[in-house]
Amino acid sequence: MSENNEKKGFFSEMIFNNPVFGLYLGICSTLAITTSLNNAIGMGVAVIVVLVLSNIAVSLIAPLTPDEIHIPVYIVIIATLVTLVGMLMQAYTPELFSALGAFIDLIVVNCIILGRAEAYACKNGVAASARDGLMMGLSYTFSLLAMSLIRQLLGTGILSFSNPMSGNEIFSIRLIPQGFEIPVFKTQTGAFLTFAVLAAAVAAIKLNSEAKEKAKALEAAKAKKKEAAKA
Amino acid sequence: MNKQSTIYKVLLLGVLCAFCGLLLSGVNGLTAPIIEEAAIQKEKANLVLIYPDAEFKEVKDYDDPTGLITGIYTAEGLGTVYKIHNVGYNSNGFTFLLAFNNDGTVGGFQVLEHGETDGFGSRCFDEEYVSSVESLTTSDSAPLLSGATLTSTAIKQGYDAAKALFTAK
Amino acid sequence: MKLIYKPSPNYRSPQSTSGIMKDLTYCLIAVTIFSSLYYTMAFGSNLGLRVVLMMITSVASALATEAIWCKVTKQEVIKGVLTSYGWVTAMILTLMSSIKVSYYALAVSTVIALVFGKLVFGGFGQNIFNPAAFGEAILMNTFAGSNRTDILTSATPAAAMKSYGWMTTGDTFSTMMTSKGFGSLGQMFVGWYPSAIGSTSALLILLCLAYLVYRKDIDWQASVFYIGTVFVLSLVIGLLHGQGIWYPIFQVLAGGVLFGGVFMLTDPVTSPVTILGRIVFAVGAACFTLIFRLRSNMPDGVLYSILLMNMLTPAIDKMLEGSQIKDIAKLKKRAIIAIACMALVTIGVGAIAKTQSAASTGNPASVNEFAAAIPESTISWEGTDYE
Repeated sequence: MSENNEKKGFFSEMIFNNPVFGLYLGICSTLAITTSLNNAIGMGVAVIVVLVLSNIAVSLIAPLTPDEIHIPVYIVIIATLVTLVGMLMQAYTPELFSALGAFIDLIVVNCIILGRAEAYACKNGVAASARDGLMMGLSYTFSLLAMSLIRQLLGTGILSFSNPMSGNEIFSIRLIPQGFEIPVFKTQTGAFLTFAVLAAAVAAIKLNSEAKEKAKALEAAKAKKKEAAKA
Repeated sequence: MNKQSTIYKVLLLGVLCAFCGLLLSGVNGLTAPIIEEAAIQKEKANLVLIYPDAEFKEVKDYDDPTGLITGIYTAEGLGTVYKIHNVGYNSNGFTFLLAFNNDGTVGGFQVLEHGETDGFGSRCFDEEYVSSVESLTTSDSAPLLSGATLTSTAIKQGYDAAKALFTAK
Repeated sequence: MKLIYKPSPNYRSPQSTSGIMKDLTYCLIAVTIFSSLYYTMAFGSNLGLRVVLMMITSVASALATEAIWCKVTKQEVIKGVLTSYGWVTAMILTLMSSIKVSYYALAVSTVIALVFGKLVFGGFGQNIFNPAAFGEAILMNTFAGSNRTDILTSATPAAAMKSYGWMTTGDTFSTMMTSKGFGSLGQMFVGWYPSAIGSTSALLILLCLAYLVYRKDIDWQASVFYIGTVFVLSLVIGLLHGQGIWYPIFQVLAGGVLFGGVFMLTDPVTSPVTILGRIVFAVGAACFTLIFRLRSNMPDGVLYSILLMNMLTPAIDKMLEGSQIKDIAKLKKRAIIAIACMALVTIGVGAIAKTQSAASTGNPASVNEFAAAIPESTISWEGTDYE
């Protein structure tokens, strides 16, 4: 029973608390860069690193920070982390860096980071904040992967992944024959269309499970009433 | 110290910024040379077309009012190479390298990529016109080519922009 | 009392929705037949057949998409498909495309047009944008390169004119007409030239307009005001540059003005509810068409002007107080002000258009400087081939 809850916990966090399709945060970068699996994983890893480190830093500094200056303090921390990540990426993974372009710097204003800092990290301990950062980062990456999978597959017909540091291709499979791909998915139009479909799917899952929960609760209440009546 | 006092806030922000600054400069020192090296490597493939076996250094700060110069690289002891992008006939434009030797003569004129019309604008990249440009100096200007007016005008504009920067040094 | 608002056409009108759609389908079939005949006689039976096959591909994709959608949303399939009129969208989309579009591209665009242009909004009667226009925008923008076959390499009148920035002298115009094979304006009126599949024959489309108005399927105001405004405004703009009557006539005949004006602008779902609103809608679309033709990157401005006005339909309805007509004089004043503003802006844009006597690839300043000296620009011109 508890194992079920654990599994459900992870899955439900991915879907229900999904920052991109559930809370509609960080959409800008999602729409812009999800044209390939490489980009998705690269950006996802960058965001996870920044998110975990910033959550840790914020949860350490929060007790010391008076309320009035908490925003500049958090922003300085996040901006420093993003710049560090950016510099390291530019040096060691130059192709990924130029593919992600301006969106690396835009991680600073990615609502997810500041949002989690304000909503969670400043009120909880270091370990819990780190875990929260990791979960949020993972579900963000998961969303990016979902979008990229669809967009890259339909837009170019190929699924491919290369080593970000050396540029060597790790795998590349062509699933849709040449000439039958749908280029609209490589563009922003396709990004919006894919996002709409995925967001609708997540909303549908949520509604479905809520309806099921309600039905279950109703059943349970009925059963209780019956028992009470019997007794 | 009282957390609400202004001194505390100032101190906190100051210490935080100082710490972050140190961290950033440290990582920068580590990564900047790698980044610069990579940038030059990318260009080097093109630059050696003009000065083979030279050591190139990128010049970052330059004031080009025409906006045509997209990169300047100095070759130690030899000259300066200017990477120029201008629009001729094809609205996508074309990119070429123009080098001035340290003595003021043209060290090289090399087109990198262009979409100019075959047989018309492309004549600017043929042997005849190229050698006429390569025989110029900083006191001349690139000649116009009839039948390739737009393309050669674009080259002339780039030439003048590079000349201005070279003679201003 | 509960007021029920239904998008027109309502059942009080002499024609029912199915009747209107039937007449529309007949007209579209007529245009298809003409186009197929033209391509057979001008380029051989391969192309004539291709027109028919493209139509079949598109309609089949449309029906399949709607059937699947009905299945998935648990509706009765046959009834659902028949009342959703997807084939009308498919036919309009095919007629708007160039003959060079590949079957696959057409099929995919039809699916996207129906799913994202109509079905996700709630089906027939609920969409904001004209689904055929939406599909054509997707087709043009994303299938332009890879999925086009090289059947014909001639340019369309709109594209040819675009290379002159839609403003040129009478002489250059005559040269262009003969060299590109459009013949005379009379030939363009009949429609004997290559362009988008369905939008060539002005004669036939005007006949369709007459038929549809006679059968009370559409209100004549939208189409007439659209075509009329394009004509009048381009007449003014032409006169400002000293061009003759050929200019406004060409503006009306070239590109999708007639086709869009009769088949797409009149879509009751995506245009305002009142007659006055439809007039404002039509004038706005005409203004945008001219502005896009003169200044945008696209050869023809009809498609996006229709989409933009679709977007403004709720605003127009609000401005003219949609279904409750209270004070007609005030509403008329509002409409006239809106129309006057749009017309003035368009004339202003037209006034600053530069007359070009040499084709350019979008660099007006340098063309004016070197117009005389460049042989290359009139020889190796490659334009876009869709509208």
